Amino acid sequence: MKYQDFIKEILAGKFVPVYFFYGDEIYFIDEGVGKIESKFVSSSSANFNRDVFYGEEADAAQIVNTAFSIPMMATQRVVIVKNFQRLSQSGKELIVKYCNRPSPQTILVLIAENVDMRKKVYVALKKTAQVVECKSLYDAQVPVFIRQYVNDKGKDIRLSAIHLLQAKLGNSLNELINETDKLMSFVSDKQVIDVTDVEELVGISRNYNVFQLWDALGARNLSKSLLILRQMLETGERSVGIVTSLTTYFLRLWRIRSLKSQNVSNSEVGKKLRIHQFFLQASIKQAQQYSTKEIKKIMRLLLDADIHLKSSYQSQRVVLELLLLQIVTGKKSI
Amino acid sequence: MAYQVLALKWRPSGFDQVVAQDHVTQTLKNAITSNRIANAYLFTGPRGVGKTTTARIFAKALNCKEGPTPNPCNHCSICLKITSGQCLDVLEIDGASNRGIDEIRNLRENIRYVPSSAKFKIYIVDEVHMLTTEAFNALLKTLEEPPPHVRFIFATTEPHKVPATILSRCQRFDFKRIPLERIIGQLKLICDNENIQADDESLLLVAKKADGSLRDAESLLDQLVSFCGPEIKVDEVLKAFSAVSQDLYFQLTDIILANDIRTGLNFVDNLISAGHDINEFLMGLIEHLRNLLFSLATEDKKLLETSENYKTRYLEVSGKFTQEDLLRMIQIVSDTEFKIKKSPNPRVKLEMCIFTLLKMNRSVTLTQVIEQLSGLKSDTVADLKNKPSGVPVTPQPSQHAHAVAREPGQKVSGQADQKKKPDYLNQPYFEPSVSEIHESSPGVAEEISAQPTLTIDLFKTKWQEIIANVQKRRVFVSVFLKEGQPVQFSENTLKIEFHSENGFQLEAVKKNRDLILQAIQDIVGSTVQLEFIKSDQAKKNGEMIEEQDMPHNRIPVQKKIDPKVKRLIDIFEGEILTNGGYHGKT
Repeated sequence: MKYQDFIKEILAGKFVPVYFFYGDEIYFIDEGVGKIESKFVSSSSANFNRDVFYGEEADAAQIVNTAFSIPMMATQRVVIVKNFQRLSQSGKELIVKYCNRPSPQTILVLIAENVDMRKKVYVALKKTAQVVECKSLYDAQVPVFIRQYVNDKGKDIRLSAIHLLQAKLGNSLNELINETDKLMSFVSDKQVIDVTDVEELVGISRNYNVFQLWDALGARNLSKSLLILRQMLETGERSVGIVTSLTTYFLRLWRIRSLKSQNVSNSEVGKKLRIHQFFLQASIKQAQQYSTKEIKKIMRLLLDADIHLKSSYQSQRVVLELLLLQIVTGKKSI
Repeated sequence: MAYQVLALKWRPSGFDQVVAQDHVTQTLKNAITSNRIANAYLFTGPRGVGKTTTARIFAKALNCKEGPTPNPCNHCSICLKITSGQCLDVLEIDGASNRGIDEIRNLRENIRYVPSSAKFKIYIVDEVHMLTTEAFNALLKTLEEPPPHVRFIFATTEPHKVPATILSRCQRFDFKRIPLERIIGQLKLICDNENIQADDESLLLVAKKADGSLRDAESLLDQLVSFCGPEIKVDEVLKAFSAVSQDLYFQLTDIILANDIRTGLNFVDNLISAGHDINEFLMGLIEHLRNLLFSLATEDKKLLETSENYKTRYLEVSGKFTQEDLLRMIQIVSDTEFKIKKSPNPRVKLEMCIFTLLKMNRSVTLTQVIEQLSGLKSDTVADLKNKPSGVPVTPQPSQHAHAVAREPGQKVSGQADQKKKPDYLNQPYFEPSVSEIHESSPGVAEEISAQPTLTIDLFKTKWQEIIANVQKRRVFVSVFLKEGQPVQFSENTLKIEFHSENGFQLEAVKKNRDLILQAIQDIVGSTVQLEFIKSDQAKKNGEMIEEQDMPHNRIPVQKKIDPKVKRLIDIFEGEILTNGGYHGKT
């Protein structure tokens, strides 16, 4: 069962005695378990009717005992087992046995990270427990989710802003939600969050500046790229990391050039090179700024800079600044 | 009231006083007003930018009697207690010394109790990245189900050491390094209030030295007040930091432009007698050249971290150089900076560096060179090809510094006109290398003219002397060099053979090539090229080829024996019994 289906069922009042949550999206797991708790355990009786165990330290027999005990002043008791995958093998088997004849007054919630569902224990669990799969969202699903989240809190966010957030943070919902919360506090009275807000608040932390640097280099703007570089170093960016990211960038330009020379369409280029659509147009435009020959030379420069940084006798800032100068002007030095 | 250091006295007590972290303070303030307070916060950023300070202000803002309020009153009993570190509900934990599982368990035990007097129980964990893995896991369990009355604030300089599971449950704020102008602004504010008189330039120096950390800047200012009294002048600051004034660097670039060697050497002399640190000077020189380069490349004043009148000066002076020249000069200086750290005589290295800068020919663009190349006659091209491969086609002074003695016995007459540019059509493509510079200075040239003819026998007879000379320079190199033997001398190249087992010695000797070259020059009075070979390599190269055809077990014992083993045999009067391995018998 998918997480979304689970939510529908639980809202409709349907439930089963054993749930098994697994997957890499912690946000969904937390939310799902939260829904169960809020439905069955009132805050006043939480101390009596809600128990949490951790797989790595819990004794399975004790879990089963707790699950069989009768709820206090309530109809249901909730037992949560986190890190189920770390329970001992015999412990897991015991739990599976319990699942065959669970206590009707208890809701047992088992939580595991990504596990191999073909293993015996999990195959058995599939038969007796309600398995809820909490996979990360796909690229296209994230913006819908974020917008919904922001709307629920009474604000709105522009699609471009979401794209930028996504490009920066990836699809991990916990992080996206954290940043979105921050953004909502940041904009205060403003109703709609837009790209500039994201740039201002989130851009200060790391990755975004790399993109700015790419843009400045893509436009062959030396003073701008130097200013960005200085800012990056000031925020504590590691210089070797900068060289690596530049290498990624020029490799990408190179690939774009080679695909474009075979008359591949823009959207196809994006798919093949897995470039987020937020950056695609700009990247293709920037690829025209550097000839293949130049890019080869730049690769050499990047390698040299990398060696310099790692054998480090020059000031790292000077190495990087000279690197940018040589990339932009195409001048050979030293 | 007792004296308090500036950094403490000027510690911000409200969000508005925190310098240059508006993105953080604004968001935190809004979060309080709109009641969107997260359970856990993570403050990251370099040292001295206000992480712990902000954490304390935030604690006050949440717990203040009038609060939660974005502007804590700072005079209610709780605010005062938090400021003095006595509040029972705001616990500051140093993660570096309370890093174990026991401390965190303890924390988890206590966390269940509601706050005694304030609204929230706030845990400020400094240097949180120092916690052990077990401690993090224990902490994670608390973070997963935080009691409603608890707030966590973690501060760290190294967020990458904090596990992702913890990171994803905190609202993270990245503190920036504080920009130069903001540090200067804050220092000015402090000076005005503390009755300290300081000129802009001294404050700039302090701010630069603080490297983005306001706390460092304030401590430095404190030191200066003790050093100079309430009136701070730039000369005294330079003295206190043993820094070199910017004017000196401009002087030097003027000398370079004027190509005036005598003044150049006087300059070094003055510099050293004034007691400046050579390393600091070179670092400053790189910075200076870099400023010139970027004023030339971008004509953008924003890139220069210096005061206004110098900025204009940079723009002025930079026009007299080309980008290529400046790039090469930076390379020369940073090479020197590297070498000088290991040099027993840094002064000479510095002088050589200044010399190279002065003697460096203004560059010719690559396209010009190619044009001239294509005009060359074919036999000249052939000549060029015979040159050692280490010598580049374009003039590259920095590499010459490495390859001091690699050029085949080139003797440049001492009377060579220093200002004459090399004629690329007739002369080889070199600029005067450092060795030539030595020769062209008067006095040295005469000595060299009395040079004996070089043969392999000469090297063999002088070998011990050479080793002794090396020993004087660096003992361990001589020890390694003893393992080698001069075997061949041709085309001004001396081949030194090492037994294949002595690869380690060979590597060590290779690294000290320059040193050995100097020794050889001292003994035989001439520069040669060195080539190090392993003995098996030597076989392949010719002389001993016939041996390779022989069946292994019939190789005459004398020829096959490792010199070390031979010595062993000599000492112990042993003999060799089998060929598979050596068994000495006494």
